[in-house]
Amino acid sequence: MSEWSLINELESIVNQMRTVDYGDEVRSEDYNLFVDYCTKAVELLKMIYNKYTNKYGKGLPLVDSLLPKLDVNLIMLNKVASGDLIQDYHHNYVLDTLKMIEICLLEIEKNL
Amino acid sequence: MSFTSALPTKLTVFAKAGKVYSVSLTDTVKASEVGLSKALVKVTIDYGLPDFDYRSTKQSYRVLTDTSKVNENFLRKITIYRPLSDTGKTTDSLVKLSYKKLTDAYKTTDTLAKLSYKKLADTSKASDVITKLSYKKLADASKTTDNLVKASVKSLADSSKGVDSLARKVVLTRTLTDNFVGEYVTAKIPLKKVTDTSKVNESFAKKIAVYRLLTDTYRSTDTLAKLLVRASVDTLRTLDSLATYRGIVKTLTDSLVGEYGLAKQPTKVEIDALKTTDALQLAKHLNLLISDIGKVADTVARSIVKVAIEQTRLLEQLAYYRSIVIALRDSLVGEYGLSKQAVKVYRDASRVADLLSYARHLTLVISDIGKTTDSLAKLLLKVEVDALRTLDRVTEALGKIVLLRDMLSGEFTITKQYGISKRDTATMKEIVAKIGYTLTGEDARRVYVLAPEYWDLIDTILPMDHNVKVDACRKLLDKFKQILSRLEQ
Repeated sequence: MSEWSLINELESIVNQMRTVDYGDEVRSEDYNLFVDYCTKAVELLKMIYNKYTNKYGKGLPLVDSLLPKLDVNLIMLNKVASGDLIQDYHHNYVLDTLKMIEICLLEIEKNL
Repeated sequence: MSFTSALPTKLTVFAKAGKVYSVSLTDTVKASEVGLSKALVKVTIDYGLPDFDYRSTKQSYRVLTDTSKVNENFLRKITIYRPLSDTGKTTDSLVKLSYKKLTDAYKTTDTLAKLSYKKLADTSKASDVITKLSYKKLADASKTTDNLVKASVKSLADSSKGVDSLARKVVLTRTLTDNFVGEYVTAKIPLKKVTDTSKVNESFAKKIAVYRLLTDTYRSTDTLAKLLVRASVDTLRTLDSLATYRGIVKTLTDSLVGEYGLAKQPTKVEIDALKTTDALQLAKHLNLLISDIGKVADTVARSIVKVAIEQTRLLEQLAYYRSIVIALRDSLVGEYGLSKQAVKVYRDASRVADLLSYARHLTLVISDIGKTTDSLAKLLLKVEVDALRTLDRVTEALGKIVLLRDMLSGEFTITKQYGISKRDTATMKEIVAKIGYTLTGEDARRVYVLAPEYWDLIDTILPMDHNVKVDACRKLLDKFKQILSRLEQ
């Protein structure tokens, strides 16, 4: 699978996401979309980072240090079934994963 | 004046009885009349009495001279040669025997001298003194005691309020008894008088062959010195010290009986001091005798060198002689406690300084009792000065000081204080710690499930939390595209 196909999948997931307001219920499928997104995003990040390293012949320490943590976070991101409560750690793992992806992307972009 | 007509009646009777008198009468103004008969010589021859020169005899024994209101004395013994001398208003003196001497004085006691060598001396209101043997001497001062000395060598002197002493020697006693039985009774009377006035006990020593001396004193302490070296100190409220050395005691007892009274007095005078301690000096090899009584400290010096100095609020100095110190160390171990008492007493009194200097090689024994401080100087160099309310100091040799330092080093525990450190560490319990950060340019927040007691702090997933993630996913997707595009360029 190429990078762009992953981007397409990510775009498909994002399109399925919805915003909520006060009084709206955040459902299990809403959370599961974040899990899918994070999984695909981390995979894409690794592919981009490989491309970067291949192109520039060097790695980025910050990215090198965050990728293992991303893998750990992906393990903790489990999908929930309908009716399950979305706990605080569900929210926090998604939030942390997205933050680390952002840092890695910014680091790669900075060194392009 | 006619002598015959003036004779008393009873004398006349004697004269009529055939007694022949040879009278020599000398009258001076207002003299008594004495009438005597004649023919004295024959009678004298009958009794075998020596024929004395009347005149000379008379002159020799005129001793009595009294003035005013004198009684007449008539002696009418068979013996002839009666000398009679009247002088003015004086007393008559009658000598009946050749060697006999009779003296009457006004208000005095009769003195009868029966032997030629007797001597009698009366002064003022003195008592009678009878000397029965030739070499006796007796002297009475005013208001003194009677002394009866029957032994030849004996001399006795009593001062006022003194003690009577009567010493008889066996051999002489019998002689006196045989010859002077009647005299003893008369002599006894004045002794009684003396005793009554002076309130003094009489002492009689009458043992055979022994000069036993018995002395009782009234309210006083007797000091009997039987050794030449012995010195006894009697102080006010102090004790008597009696030191006797056996071997010498007997000798002195035999020889010094008569000197008892004399030796006693100077001893008392020399050693009395106010509130001082007893000083007992013994001969070198005597056994030590120490006794402490009350608050007084005894000082015993066994050696000649020892000097005890006592003053009011005492400062004692006890100096031992080196060579004798070893002997003291061996023998006086038990005595230490005694000397210690003295130190205490003096310490209690202010302004007292004790100085004890021992010889170098003495074994040190220091002990403190009560709240006082003992000071002992063991070395010659040691000097201790106690001022008012000051502390005692013990100065020892340098070498000993070093030892003390070594011994005491281990007891120094001040370093322990430095090891102690005190740390105040505040422990804070974080109840709710939130980490906030931005995600793709928007504020995002983590949420926590709190403990039940903090459920009031509501921290649930809000709609904005969900929307932030959605926005972030979109923006990250765009970022992926940009980066991938640039990498592919």
